[in-house]
Amino acid sequence: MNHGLNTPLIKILIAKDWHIQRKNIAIYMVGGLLALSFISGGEWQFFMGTTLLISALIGLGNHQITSSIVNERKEHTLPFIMSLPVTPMDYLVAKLIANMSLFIVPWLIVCAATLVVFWITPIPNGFIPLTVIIGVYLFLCYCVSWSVGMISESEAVVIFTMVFTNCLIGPIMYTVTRFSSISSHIAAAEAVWSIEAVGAIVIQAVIILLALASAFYWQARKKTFL
Amino acid sequence: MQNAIEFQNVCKRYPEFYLDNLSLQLPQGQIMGLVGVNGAGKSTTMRLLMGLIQPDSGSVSVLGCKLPAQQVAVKAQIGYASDDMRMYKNETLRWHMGFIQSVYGNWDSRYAEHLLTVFDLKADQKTKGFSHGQRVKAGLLLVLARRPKLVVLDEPTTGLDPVAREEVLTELAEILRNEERSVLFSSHNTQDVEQLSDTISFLHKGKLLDSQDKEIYLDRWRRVLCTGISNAAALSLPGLVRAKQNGSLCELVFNRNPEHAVARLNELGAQISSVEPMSLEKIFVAAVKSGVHV
Repeated sequence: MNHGLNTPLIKILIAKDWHIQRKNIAIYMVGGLLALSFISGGEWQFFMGTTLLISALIGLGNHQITSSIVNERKEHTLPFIMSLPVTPMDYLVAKLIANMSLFIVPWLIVCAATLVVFWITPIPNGFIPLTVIIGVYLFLCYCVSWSVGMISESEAVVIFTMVFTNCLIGPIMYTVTRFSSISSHIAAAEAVWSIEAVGAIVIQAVIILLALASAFYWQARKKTFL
Repeated sequence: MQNAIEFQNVCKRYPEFYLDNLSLQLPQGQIMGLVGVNGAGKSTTMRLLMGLIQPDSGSVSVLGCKLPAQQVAVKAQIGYASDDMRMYKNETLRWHMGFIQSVYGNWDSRYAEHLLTVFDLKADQKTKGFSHGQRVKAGLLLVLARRPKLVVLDEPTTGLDPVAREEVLTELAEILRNEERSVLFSSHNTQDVEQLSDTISFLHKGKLLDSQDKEIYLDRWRRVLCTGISNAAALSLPGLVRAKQNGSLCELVFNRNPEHAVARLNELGAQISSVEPMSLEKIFVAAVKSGVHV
């Protein structure tokens, strides 16, 4: 088996996905930035803005996985792509880079803008660790759904995974704030990075890496790609 | 002569289907029509050719490269279009042409423009507005303008109206003039296969029933109408594939040595009323119904 990647074609496939997804990204970016404009307006605006922001990031991730991975099979554009000089592994790498960059760029912009809002407004900076934990969790949801999409090739399984992981946001927030080392500093003027806060982020990072590695593992074992 | 395609004892098992020990060769520069009913194994064969499926056993070589290991090198020289292949619906045909051009250095822009005219396609139209016929023709344009050494087409004329079918067949006949270009195409439509192919291969229930030069193949099959045989079903003659009796009239189908069969029937006292060559469609039906393996 030839294990070399077809880098020029991977670049073309990444550019193709960016081109096809460009309008979706722009819409969710505008939604995310609009949500940010609410956050500093007062108490109810803060909760409304936060809810909108989380919804925008969830929507961005789910929409992208559906249109880029699920629909590629459902709408039969996958045979078109796989007729090109590309191996299933090239396809996986192209999808990984394209999807991750398509999610990470707006995700980073929205996360960075959120931190800027915290710094320049009266909202206490003590919120930052919790915000980062939730932000990383949203990325984890995306990565797990992406990996499940690549492995299962099933629309139903992907939708279930998306719904399930996104439903866990509430319980995750509840659990994290049960740690006094996190909750007791939420109203503090400065962010406090306790061991629990850092640990929550590290655990999520490990889960993300495991999810992505499992996609590569299963792809390498597949004997039937289409 | 080097083989463009070579299957050697290829087996592939699915829960509901088994590709059974397929051995098939397509010499370079030849056109092979792959015929079979739905579920015969045509699409599986073509996906094996594209390296999208790994065989359970046996080997597949295309243009001298082993599959699926060298699929990138192989696919750079193949133009593949299938019935279940779609373009991105929100993009125009022009965008797709640019996309394929960025992948294939051999892309022939002039030929692509020529095909746009011949197929009466609007390059700036989004593909979601295409009819089935336009979609098939657009897919062929993207395949043919890359000037591949091997063209693999899965059901290229299925569902086309007579005009679109004629346009597609004419253009296919045109590209087949290049003696170095090999073509494998599958079709339900035996007329298309008969019109274009040098070689015919029959697949049925995952088995290759036959694969041979078209002229020799068609020449082998004969339909004999005769009277004077009391029990056609009890006849045992070499090459007899099917025997039907309607009153005193017998219809016998032979797939080899028709002259010998006619002589033998005469010896048995039969009165031969006609010995007719058969169309590929009639042969196809007879072969499938009798499960003949020659």
